[in-house]
Amino acid sequence: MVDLSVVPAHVTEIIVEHLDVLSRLMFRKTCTDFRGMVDRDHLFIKNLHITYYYNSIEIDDKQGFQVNYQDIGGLGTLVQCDKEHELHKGKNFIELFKIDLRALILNRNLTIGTLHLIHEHHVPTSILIRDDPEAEVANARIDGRIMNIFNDLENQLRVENLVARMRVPWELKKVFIRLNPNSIKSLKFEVDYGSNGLRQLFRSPDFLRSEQLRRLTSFHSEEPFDLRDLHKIAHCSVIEVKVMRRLTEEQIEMVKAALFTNPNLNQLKISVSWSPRAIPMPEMAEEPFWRSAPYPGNPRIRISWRCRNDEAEFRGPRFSGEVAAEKEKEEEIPVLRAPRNFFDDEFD
Amino acid sequence: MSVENAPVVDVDEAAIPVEKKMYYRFESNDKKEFRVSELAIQQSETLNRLVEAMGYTSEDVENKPAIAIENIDGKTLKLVFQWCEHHKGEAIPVDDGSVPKIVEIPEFDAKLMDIDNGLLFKLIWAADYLNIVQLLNVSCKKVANMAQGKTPAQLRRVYLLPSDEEDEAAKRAAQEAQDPRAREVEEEFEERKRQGGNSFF
Repeated sequence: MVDLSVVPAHVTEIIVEHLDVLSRLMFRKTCTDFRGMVDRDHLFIKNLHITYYYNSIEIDDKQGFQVNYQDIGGLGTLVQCDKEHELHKGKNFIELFKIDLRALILNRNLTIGTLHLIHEHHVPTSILIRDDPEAEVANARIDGRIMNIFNDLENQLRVENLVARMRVPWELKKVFIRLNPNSIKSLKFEVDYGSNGLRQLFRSPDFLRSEQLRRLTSFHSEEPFDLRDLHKIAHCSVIEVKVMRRLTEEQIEMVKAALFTNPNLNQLKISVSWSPRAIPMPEMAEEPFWRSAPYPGNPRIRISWRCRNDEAEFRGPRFSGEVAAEKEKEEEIPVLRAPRNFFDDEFD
Repeated sequence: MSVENAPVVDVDEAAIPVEKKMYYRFESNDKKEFRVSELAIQQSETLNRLVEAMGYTSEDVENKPAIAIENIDGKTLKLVFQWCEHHKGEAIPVDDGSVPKIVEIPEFDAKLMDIDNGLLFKLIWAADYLNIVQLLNVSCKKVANMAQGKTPAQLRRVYLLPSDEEDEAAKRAAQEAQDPRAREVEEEFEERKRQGGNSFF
């Protein structure tokens, strides 16, 4: 009987290229030769959406793999799924979810283009608690749950763009420690409750050191973030932060000082996201106007800024358009060295 | 010797010059003969170069022996030439490097490839050997489609693949067949290990 092994290796690779990611991961488990073949070239998922709802979880790669694991009345069965999962219908969705998710993201060679991680609701605890009898303390149990969602190894999951909406900051923190900081190019996150998500980022030194991280968008920060930490992310070329209260003039000065450490700055926007819990502040200026100041040691390049009622906007030497957040290509400006002890310097 | 004629097709007289309407004769490794139009041959880079290098005239095609394709059997070659005749004149696709590949399997191709897996793998092998890019694409897509939603164990059954254990056992058996002393040495080594020694010396 003729089997697939009669086909030359380069043809098998063509077959692999026709497979979707999940099938590729299954294919690599068939034999040693195929495992090597799939692993040799990086696996890549362009988009992966993982969404947690009240009683269901959805995985979707937008390329044909889409499964909704739904828990009805605590029965925990898979009720809605793509054609390939029809066979599994009615089976325990918790186990299936774990199997599918592990198959998708627990491969060291995998790179995810954009990971959308949306927590519309708390992660159903029954899904993610690790069977660890020693994890009696609440926090330990929380850690245990997360260890089952992602790679058990820290800093392994390669994601280029992360779009995350979490309910509480620790969820975001645990995501950060699973991601490989050297692969991340843009972060967009939102945290509903608790302290703001930026603080979690400030506590993740690997990310802050990553020069790949160029774009950062943070929404719904509950409290004004610690502006003194802003210099830690000033190497990002595009930063957009939504806070719950207006910045004072002192705070604006502090932001400006932090930005002078980044000669590659494109744009920073800090805007107020009003909510019932936001504390109204007196208006700072009626009319928006731009001001500018040169970088210390290099008067040819400047930072411009303006403060309107609900928005403080800063533009650096790399600013090149109206909507910088969507602009991928940046013109070549030689990278300049940041001044030392920037907080001690006085700027115009 | 059996002769299987290629399917009769309408030819656009205006588009194709008269001298191009030539049918070449090919012979499979089990001595089955096929007649294939020159335009259909263009789908195969290998055959196209071969007939160009031969420079046959219409008389040569009839008088000289059929061109032998020694690596492919008649059943497979028939499928290949049926495909080439159906798709003759079509542009040959260029690989754009995208992954996963976006390939649609036309209805004709789907019917043509409605065959057992063994023959399908032979067809892929032939498409690669004869360098027929689009046939290789659609046949690989067909094989890839067979993998959708399958577990590794199911995939092994579909692709008729041995498991790692079977594979290793086969390799070991082949090695032993080549060198019967190897097994004896291995057993001796295991025995010494059990007795506490790590070395033969």
